[in-house]
Amino acid sequence: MNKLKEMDSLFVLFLNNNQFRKEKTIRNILKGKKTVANLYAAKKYNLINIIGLNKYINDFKIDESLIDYNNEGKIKLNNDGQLFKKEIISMTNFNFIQNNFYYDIYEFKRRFILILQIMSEFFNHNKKYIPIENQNYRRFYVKKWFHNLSQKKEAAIELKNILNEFLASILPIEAEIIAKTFVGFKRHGKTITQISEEKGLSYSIIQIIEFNAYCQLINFFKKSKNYSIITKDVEKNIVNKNALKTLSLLDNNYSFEEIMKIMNNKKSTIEEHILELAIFDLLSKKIINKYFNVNLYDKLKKEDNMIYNLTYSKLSFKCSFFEFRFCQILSLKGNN
Amino acid sequence: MENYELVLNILKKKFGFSKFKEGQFETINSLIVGNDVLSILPTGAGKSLIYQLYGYYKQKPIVVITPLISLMYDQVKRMNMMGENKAVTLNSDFDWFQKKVILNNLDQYRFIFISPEYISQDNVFNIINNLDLGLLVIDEAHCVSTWGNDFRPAYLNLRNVIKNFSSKPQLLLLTATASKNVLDDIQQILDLNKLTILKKSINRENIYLKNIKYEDQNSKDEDLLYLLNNLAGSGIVYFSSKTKADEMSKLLIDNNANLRVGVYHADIDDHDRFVIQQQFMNNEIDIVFATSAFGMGIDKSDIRFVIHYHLPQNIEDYFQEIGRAGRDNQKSIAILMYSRQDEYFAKNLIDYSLPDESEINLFDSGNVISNQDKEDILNYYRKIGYPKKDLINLFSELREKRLVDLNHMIDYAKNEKYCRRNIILSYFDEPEITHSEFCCDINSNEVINTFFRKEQGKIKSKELNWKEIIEKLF
Repeated sequence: MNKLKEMDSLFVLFLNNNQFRKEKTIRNILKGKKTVANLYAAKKYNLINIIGLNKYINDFKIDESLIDYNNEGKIKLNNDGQLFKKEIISMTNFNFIQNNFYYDIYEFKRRFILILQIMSEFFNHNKKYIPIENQNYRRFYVKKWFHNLSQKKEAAIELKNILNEFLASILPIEAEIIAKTFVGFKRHGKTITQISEEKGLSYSIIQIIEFNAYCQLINFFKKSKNYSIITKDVEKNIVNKNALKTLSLLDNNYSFEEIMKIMNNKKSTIEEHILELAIFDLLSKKIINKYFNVNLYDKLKKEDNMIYNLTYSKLSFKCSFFEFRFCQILSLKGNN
Repeated sequence: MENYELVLNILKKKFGFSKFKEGQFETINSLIVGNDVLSILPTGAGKSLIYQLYGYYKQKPIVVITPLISLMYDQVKRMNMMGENKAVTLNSDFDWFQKKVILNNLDQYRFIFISPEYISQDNVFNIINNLDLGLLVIDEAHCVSTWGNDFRPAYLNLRNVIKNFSSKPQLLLLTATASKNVLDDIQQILDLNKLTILKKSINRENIYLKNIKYEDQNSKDEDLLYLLNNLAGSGIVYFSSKTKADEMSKLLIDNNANLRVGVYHADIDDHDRFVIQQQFMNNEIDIVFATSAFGMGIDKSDIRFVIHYHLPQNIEDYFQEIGRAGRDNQKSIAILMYSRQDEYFAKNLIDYSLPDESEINLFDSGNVISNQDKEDILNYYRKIGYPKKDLINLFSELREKRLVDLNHMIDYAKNEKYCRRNIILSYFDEPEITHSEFCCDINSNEVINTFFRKEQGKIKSKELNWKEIIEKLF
């Protein structure tokens, strides 16, 4: 536990002990940079779920004692790193971190806390309180919702029930930490720093546990009609809108040239759309077959059985980059 | 007298107070007889109550020009809490649609808090111009003056704003810190020569002033821990560095697990800032480690001590910050911890905050400069067509002026001979007072012991489990 108090090195969560990874690429994934190269790396490292995590947690330090370097400067976990990673993983449920990919957890949390405060103060008949939220748009949005809510008392009880059910369902430490952040009647919540001091755990560990708890909480509000406001429009766009247009045209049997013309895009842009769609498994078998070069795939396999590890500039033969990357993406399906 | 009864009635009904603080009624009365007023009142004198009460008296919309967005939100939140829902902010936080909705309904609001930049926009100004205004308030009016330490270029444009009203609104200018230079400057820049100036002494007799000198950083850190372990009541410790605030908070908690501390600075997200502010207001924490971001709008009456770990950049800032202590008029203490290194740190901060000639040249030739605040200020001057040469001179003069101010502060920190209160009073062009034992540590060094706690520190309350938390909420 002492180590967990001192250690802020949550970067271990994005490393493993058998694959050397590039730190800068992982940092770009955390920042949410959605270039095809970055998305491909996220897929290759099995880190799609953490794209844009920096919006919620912005400080992932590296502890040199937990990692090994290769001669290209890439990093992987050493034994201590692996043990530390296991220790963190045992403390919180990472299965729901995928919600970070689908939802803006930050926006969800902000709305939830404001609504919790409003409902708790209402339930306790207190009108004189300072609302937690500063952002006008959120306050206006929630104020309007509250005004239109027809059965307020019943809605408050529903919220209490949802929270009881949710907190009983998650790990005790997750329940304890997230409940401490709640704000409402005569309760102003605790900051992550304060919880960290109380629990004797590092700031980062408390932050990731809290984050995971919110990732789980979002599922409890998806079904509630009264509280649909909390989850409304917090979904993220998985793929960019133009790539989705390209997908629609592909599904309707338009040729590559026709798509270029309709979209008014260069060849390379449409290729990027297709690669992005392939990374997110959105292409039908028919389309995959259309762009998949079997001969190239076999040729690449001869260069290195793990095609996803190949570097285009180091290939012993020439080929199209698009076809090369397409083969790599398909080769990852077996890998992950 | 007739006015007095009338406004006293509003005071009781709307604010729940039975008497005015010094300077409040004089200002309101002067407004009632139709004057444009510049009111200089000490910190904690209840300046915002003046325009709020006047708004109820006039039954017309009041526009308040405020320099900080956080201050606007704070005012609106507090007015909401008092049951006043017709208060709104207008600032850059709004998107186009929200701005449009508010502007279309602006006549529905009684108190409109707006930034100087926003009121200068034509479409916003035109709507405000069409309101039958009860009062136009310029809060923190010292920001108008380039001599003031919080000078904001957008405040310069307020001269045009005031002139462009089709029917000149009644004006109220409020500040807590204004030397004669600043007062003259405000009147000249805004072209206001018929202002009624009301000035109350800024002296806060109930705050004991103490300076402590240190040779090195370690002894300063150790002494801070000693002071915090012994001083009674709630307090604020001001730092000029966010990192140092974090570091000292950790050190304190490691040394005394019973002290309840919060950290508040620009890197803390607004959720946590809310939590710290509310915990402090409700006595759930005793000490806040903060940068100057903390305190504006904080109205906690029983703060017993304010400590400055670093040297403030000028006496105005220092006096404003220590003024957060003892608003209940009970004895309180302000401690300035001074070490030689602080001087260099403060000088660096001045250099860092103002663009120098090379940065102005860089900006002028279309390059990006690394500091966003500097870039914003240069953009402003470019927009109003300020020539490069004048700009270089302006910032060079401003730097000189700030260094002079810093030197005053250093002299104050080093002084071991003269009454500290009288140094401050003469700085603000106020008459000297007779030095007494409970004034400052010159010749009365033992007084600090009376601020130490007699009993054990507060015991942390029991932590609730999640089931208990939910039961408390509902």
